[in-house]
Amino acid sequence: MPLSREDFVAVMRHLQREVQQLDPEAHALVAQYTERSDDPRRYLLDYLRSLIKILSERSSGAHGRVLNLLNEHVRTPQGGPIRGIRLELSLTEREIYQQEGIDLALLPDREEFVQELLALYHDLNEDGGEHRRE
Amino acid sequence: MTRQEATARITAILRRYMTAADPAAFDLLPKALTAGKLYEAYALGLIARQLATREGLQLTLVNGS
Repeated sequence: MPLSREDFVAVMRHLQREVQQLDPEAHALVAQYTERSDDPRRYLLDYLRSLIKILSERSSGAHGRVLNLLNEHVRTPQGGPIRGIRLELSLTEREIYQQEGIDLALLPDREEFVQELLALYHDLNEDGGEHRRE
Repeated sequence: MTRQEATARITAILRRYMTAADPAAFDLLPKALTAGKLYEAYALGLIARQLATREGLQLTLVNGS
């Protein structure tokens, strides 16, 4: 039986509560990037998609894929491959955080997590909701 | 999928993986600082591919290694 509007609201509330509890900063970012919608199913799917996007960017697995893409057609002046992607901090940020930059390859590999969230997204997306099956 | 199945699945996935901490280097950094940076690099990679395959350019990274 497809999920009802009330089901989607409950699932959305549960998802937001869990993310907020486990990672409040990620929740704030995801909420910021999620388009507001009167359709709870749409809103849930958009929230999940934003969560997947933000968390996949915090995975070293994504770092490797992006690095491979860059190395397909870009070389260093010495002719070698690019070895990593690093975020250089501004002068003020360096003073505040006591570091010059961030090596994005140091992030934990969250690919399995991202794939499970993607599978959940697709399952929920396939469940069109009861009002869509009439 | 029922409501209960969906919520149970969400809890199982999030609890298992989100408790895995970022390395110490990321402790103090606001996540907003790094958010979108890999995507920017990804977009750059796509542009580089287009420039190389469609325009025939050879690209060299300056000020990088």
